[in-house]
Amino acid sequence: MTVKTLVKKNSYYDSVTLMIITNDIKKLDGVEEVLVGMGTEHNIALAKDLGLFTSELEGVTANDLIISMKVADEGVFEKAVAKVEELLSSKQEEEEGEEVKPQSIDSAMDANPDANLVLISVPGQFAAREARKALLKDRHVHLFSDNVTIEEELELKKLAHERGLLVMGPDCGTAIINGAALAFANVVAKGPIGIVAASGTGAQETSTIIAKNGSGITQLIGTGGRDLKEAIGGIMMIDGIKALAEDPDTKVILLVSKPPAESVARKVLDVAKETGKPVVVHFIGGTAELVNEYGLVFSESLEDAAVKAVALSKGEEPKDAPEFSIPREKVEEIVKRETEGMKPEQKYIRGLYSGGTLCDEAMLFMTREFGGVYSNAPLSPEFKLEDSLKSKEHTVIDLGEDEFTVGRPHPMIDSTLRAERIEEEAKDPEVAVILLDVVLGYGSNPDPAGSLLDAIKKAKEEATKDGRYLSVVASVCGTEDDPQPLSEQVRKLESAGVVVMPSNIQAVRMAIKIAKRG
Amino acid sequence: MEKKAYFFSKNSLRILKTLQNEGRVHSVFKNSINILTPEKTLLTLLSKKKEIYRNPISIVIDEEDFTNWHILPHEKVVYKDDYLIFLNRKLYVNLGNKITWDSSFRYFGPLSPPHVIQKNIETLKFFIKVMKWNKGLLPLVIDVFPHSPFSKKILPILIEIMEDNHMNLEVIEGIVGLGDGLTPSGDDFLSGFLIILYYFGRYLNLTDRLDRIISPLLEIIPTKTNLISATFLTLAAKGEAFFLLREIIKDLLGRRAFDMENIRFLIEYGGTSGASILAGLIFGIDYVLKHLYRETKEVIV
Repeated sequence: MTVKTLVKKNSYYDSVTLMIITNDIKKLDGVEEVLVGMGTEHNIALAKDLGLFTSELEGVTANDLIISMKVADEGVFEKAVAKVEELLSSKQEEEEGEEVKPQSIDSAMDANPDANLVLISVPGQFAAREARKALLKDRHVHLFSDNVTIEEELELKKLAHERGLLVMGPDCGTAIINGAALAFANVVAKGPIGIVAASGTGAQETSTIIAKNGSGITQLIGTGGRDLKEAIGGIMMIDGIKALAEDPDTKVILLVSKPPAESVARKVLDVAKETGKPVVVHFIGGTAELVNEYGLVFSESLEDAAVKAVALSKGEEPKDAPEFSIPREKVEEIVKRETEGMKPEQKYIRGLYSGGTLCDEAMLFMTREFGGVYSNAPLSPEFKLEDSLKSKEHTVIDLGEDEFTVGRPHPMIDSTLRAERIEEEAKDPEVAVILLDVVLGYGSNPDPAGSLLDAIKKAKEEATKDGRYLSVVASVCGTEDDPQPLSEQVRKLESAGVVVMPSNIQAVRMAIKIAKRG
Repeated sequence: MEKKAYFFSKNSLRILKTLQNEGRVHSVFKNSINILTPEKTLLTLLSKKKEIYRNPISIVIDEEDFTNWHILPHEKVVYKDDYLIFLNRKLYVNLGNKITWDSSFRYFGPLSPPHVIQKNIETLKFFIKVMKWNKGLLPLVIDVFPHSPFSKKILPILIEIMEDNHMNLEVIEGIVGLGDGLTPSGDDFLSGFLIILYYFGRYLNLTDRLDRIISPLLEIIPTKTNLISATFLTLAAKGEAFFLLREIIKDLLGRRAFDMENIRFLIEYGGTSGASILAGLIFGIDYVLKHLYRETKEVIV
């Protein structure tokens, strides 16, 4: 046995390389012991302890690489030196070749290197961390999780913006990217309209109405409901608009959001104007002045927005969507039929919604008509219900609010709570109309209409026993290509005596007409 | 060629200013470049692939592989007009987009009670055993007998430290610069140990007591190991931790859910460095639970 040493003066090799050297040299026949490390005082002392010290080690410093080995003969040492040189000059992959099973976001990304988007649905306290990991690996993020702090949202969106990525969320219920429906979304044909939406069911309603009007979408980019708040500044809506502006297939851009802070709205509208493409803006409850100031197309309802976007995509003048898309006579016939058996004291509407934005739209139009609508999530605080389980006068309930979803699935998935509430509302002799939304698509209940039928039938029977007629009005947000085909869901509802309207806004208008007896 | 930078540690902003006078490339790796300032401090440029390993002196660069830059040690580097300029290569790193983060100690909410921390450590050790993560000095803290000559040498030193509730400086000093790797594994281990002492020290109001050991150690460190290792050891002793390490400490000591993925990332850091840092961290927590936590009645925060 002989002891030999190789010293690389002032040389820094990463630890992986040094580890590989150690392992590979150890494997060589005729090598009894090897020490690869930096020439620190303690390492030199250890070399002495192990009998691996040679004169070459005198005068080395902590910045020198030392490779000492006990080998059978000179030939083995030469082989070892050749191996070391080979390893030092080759570009070793840093990661070792162990198979990675995707048990986490990181390993999933590693295992699917071509996937460029990560959908995250984990409890809120962990969501930002997972999103950050995805962004740091250059993936777009669809952040379905809620309960992410606004500070975290801002940090994530800034990071995404800097890296040219999207963070759709947090609490982003809907997106359709390159035809792939993410979370709660519908099967919508490809077409010329690009949507950026800070509202889940707002996005579903507009995209499905676009489909119902024979058109389609390029992308549906969700931003999460807080994106247009002052604290976030519309980072993702702006980036989404820019992305659609650059997309040659997008001929018309449609923006959907609750009314943003004016400063944010102006930033967004500025960018929208700059695109040079026709842009339809629907800031729910917003006014036309601001949108008109930028020369963009204002829309009053989700349906109006979708209809105008379709018209623009065909090169037509955008006209306001009609109040009802069914003939006037048909509307009057329905109102007459639904009100005939009602008692005079039946005057209130009870809206039971699974979609938050659809709920807002209902409240908005009902408030214009009735002056105020009670809710668990009212438009103004004085109409907040003291007890969300007990309706009062005109009431519209958002069953997707946290108070109803803690420990149970969202009402778009599980209809139990809504079915119970339908029966409960039917007992109130002052109720004229129960107003519902039925949302189809991926993520939703496989048969949302069917899951409500028993409750609707029982509610109507309960009213009949009491000598009343209870009207149930609904809209179905979906397409024929959804996993729950639209026509089938409509048929089921109609079979239970439900008045099914083509859009949420038309259902709201119909409910108002019935409650007001025309 | 122009590249962009982001994720600046707060320290890096201070170090950058010293590069207004010319600095030199210290060392170049596939995923990092170390730059030596005229004040003999290091600044690390980290590739975006390794962002998760951002450290107290790093800036992350939008670059996959630094070998493409063909930079060699001793080349001139200067910081001017918010650009880091490698003069010989006409290579400009745009530093205009300063997303900063702070590597220094921060309270992360209440410290968990000792039995919860103990349970976390036991769980972690169990996973390390099951996953056979036996790199670096990790075998030493999961009671697996070491095979490498370094580990064999370090083991009795660790036993001596663990048995001594006064922490003898001479004994601790015995592992500085000892071990394999660019940053010797003893140094990595000590980094994990010191950072844990710092965190506990702040929580348990033991800062002065620990400082009596750590201050003289800080003087010894630069004489016993190489510049890169000494830099990180010194930072650890001052409570400055890698981003990832701070997340792990928060998990282990605080009241957050335990993220095994972060542990896996740490173990994958370097050849054995991450594993040895983790070993030091586990050892440090064991040490504190054995000697310090029990002695302390008042827990701040």
